[in-house]
Amino acid sequence: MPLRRDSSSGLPDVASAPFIQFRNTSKRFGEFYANRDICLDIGRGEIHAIVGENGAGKTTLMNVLFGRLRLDSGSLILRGIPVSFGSPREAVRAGIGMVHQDVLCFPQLSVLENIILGREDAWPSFLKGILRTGPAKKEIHGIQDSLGFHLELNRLAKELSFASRQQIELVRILYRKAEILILDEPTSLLSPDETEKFLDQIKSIRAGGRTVLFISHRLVEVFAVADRITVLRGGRLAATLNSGATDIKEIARLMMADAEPGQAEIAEPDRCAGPVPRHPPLETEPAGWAERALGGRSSTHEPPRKSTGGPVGAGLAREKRELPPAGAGGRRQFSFSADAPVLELRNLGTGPIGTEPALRDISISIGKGEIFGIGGIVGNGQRSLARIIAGKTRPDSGGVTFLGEEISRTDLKERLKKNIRWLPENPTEEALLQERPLWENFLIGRFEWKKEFTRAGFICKQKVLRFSTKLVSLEDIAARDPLEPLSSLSGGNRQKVALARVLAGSPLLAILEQPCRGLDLRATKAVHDRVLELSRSRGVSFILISYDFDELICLCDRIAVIYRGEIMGMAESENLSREILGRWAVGVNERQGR
Amino acid sequence: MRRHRVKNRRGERVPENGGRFSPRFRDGLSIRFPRLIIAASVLAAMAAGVLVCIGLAMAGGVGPVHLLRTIWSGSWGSLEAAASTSAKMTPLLCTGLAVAIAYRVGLLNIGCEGQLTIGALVSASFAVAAAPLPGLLLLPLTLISGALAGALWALPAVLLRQRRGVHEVISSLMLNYIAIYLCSYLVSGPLGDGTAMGRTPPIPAGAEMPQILRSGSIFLTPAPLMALIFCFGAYIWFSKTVWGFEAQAAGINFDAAVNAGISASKWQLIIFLQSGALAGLAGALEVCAVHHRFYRSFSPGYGFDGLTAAFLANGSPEWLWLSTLFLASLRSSDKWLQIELNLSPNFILVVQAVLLLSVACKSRIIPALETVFSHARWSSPKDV
Repeated sequence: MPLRRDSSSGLPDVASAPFIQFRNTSKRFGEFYANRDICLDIGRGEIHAIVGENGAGKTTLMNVLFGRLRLDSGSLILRGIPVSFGSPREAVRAGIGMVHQDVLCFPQLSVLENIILGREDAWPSFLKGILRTGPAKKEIHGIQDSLGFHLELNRLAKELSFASRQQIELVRILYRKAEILILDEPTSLLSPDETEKFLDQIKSIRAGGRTVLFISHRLVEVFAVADRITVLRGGRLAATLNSGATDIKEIARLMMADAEPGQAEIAEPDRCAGPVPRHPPLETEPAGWAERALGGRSSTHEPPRKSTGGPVGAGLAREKRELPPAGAGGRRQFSFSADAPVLELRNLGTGPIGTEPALRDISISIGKGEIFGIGGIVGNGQRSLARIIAGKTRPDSGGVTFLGEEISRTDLKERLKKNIRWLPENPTEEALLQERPLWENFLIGRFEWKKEFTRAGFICKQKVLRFSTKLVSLEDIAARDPLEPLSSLSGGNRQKVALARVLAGSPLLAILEQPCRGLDLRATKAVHDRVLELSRSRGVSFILISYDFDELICLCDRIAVIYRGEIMGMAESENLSREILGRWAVGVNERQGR
Repeated sequence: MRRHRVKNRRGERVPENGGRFSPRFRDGLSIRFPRLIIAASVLAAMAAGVLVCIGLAMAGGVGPVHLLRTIWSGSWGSLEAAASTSAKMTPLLCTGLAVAIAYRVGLLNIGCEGQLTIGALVSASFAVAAAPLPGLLLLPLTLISGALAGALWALPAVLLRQRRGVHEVISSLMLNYIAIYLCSYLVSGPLGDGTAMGRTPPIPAGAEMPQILRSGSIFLTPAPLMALIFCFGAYIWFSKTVWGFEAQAAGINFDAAVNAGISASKWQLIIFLQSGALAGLAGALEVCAVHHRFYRSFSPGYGFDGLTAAFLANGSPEWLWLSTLFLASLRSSDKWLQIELNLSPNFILVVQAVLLLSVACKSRIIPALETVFSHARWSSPKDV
């Protein structure tokens, strides 16, 4: 992407006149801190980027500023005056505007109507109540000229491209005289060309003395426009840096790293608890790290990273190595690149599905008993891939082979019969029957049970209940009874139910989308142990889709990272670190020159 | 002392039944007796509705005892009344079941009225045309033809839903009017008996339902029994068989069912067609057992009353007999209300509407009932 960094305009004097100040702000959802003690000053006329992993608290921070959420503690100071917005309406009145990730506009209204909605002019006196558009048009033309937009005001919004709708939103905010613009991942749905244009527009908005807060996952873009960059991690502020004084690698490291010098208090107990040795700084690494990471097999002479104290997952990684017979050659007794892969994807491609981008040229082969991780930032095509492997969606091109048999034309039902199991991302909506008893949830979709638990089409309730009761005890589900409806269970226990169904019987391949979502530490560990046990002792292959790089590195044999529907990098997890994955996830792979 | 033989994944010994025999009574009630609690809630709602109606009647100057006695004597007080009430039950059972089974798979069949009308006309015309057939063959074929016609009339609605995403409530509702006016035209023209009455010729005696009881002008046919058997069959099918289980799963969470490998669309199609067939059968039974011919504006709203019946019974086929009994009693006593109490027959419609509204509130009633039961003296003390 030919994006230049534009540092010609001098930085505003931030220190002397902070325009927006977050003073120790915290926002909690239940026990979970989405924001914790954030101290952040933002100057007038600044483009300030906010980056971080998913769930780092970026959107929460912006929602607090925009009045959608109320602070639990701390204070927000705007123009030197403490404020507390009860609703977005008050924030808008204070000159704050927000462009949401999914653009909100009225498709049946014209561009003009979309823009003036909320600040309409009416004629005076006896014509009161009749819309007057003349002055508004003039003003909008003025705004358009200053930004270089060319929106036709009479077109209907639904006829316009996504990028144009985003422009409508920007003009609307400016028309309402906003001085602070919050852009929540504005480029996530734009094409590269549009993105470049959009970034230029942001700069021209700033030129008018306005302040722009810019959330993005794409560090390249961030560096192209931002004056300063704030990194959030786990709800806390990791650092605020001048973009001229840092680089992508450092930001990526800040986003992912567990602990930094001088910020020891950040190391919260997470699921990979235990002594976490700090990862050596990237700069000290040999230049060919990416090659090594990618061509892990060819560089066997290098000592495996984990033995030198990897950056992550000490606890679980250790346990993983202790698990079943590790054999002489480490934990890898099987060779997945070899002759008989369980699943083989060849040059898979689809069009965009929902909000996920099109998949292009995905080729993966997975061996027996392998745990294959797929990582990346939300919405880069992981879900589409899972759906294709599960048989829910058919690929447009390419092939899927399961145990040497071409299955890309078969549907989900047939793949279930072949013992390919799928745990969807939101089991409550996609896999479970909320109001029904547990036993029904265990048995829906299990095909063996047709023989096992039925007689001439009738369900043998006694057998079914005995089986379900056993499963409840075995999986440690907090339910008294398989007759209990699923809706009486907590989210984590529902997840266990869904997982129990996927792993019960004799699966050959299981696609798990975020299997540990909503599970507590112990349950997460139980799931991890279970996955390892099944794969090592019973030869079940797993595809694990997770947005948590630690989990992937702890658990998987190989990891691939998807970025915008393409595999950005793939390597054995022993040769991978959080930092490498983090860079792949934002579209940076030195080896491929991106 | 029970032995704990099963270990959980953490290696702890746990009771094999997961503590099944020691549930806390408080929240165990709705788990152990889900049907009972639903029935109780429906009954409670109906009682509330009846109370409202009594209030209404009192406002109209009619005492509650007088009102209830009139309804009773109008519906079950005499042999004639009982026969006519049970005859009214038949179509209600069929259309109620039609609505209930479609609802089980997540579809709402509002088109019973149209399917019933089409079924009635087709069966009447078939019986007239196929008069030479022996009686043993003619009656079943007549009923089947009506059912098939009803299913065929339901087909566009479900196909539109599955292929084009048209909501089946809209399409089946519209198909009602198409059916009613189409039949009205056909019976005045090509299929009529040549008079200006707008009716078909009478069906041959072989196609008439045999009368198992007869006294004077009153007779009873096996039609209500047939409808009851259908209801019972549907109950068994949905609650005991694998197929019923799968079909129901499609109704509860379509996505989950598909993801579990159930052909959810197929089940929806099949059940919706059966729903249409049942409504068509209701029309055919009316023709064969009661009217012996088809005439214009054939159905006095049996299709829509089916909706009421199904919802009063909470969509469970096994309780349909109760709700239809109730509705049919109200329906057949409406003339008596007018004669005896000088209340408009529309009063019955008001009663139905109030009942439906109060049953619709049952989702609030279930938790209330559970609270009531849990605080009852005879519940076991709260243990840990």
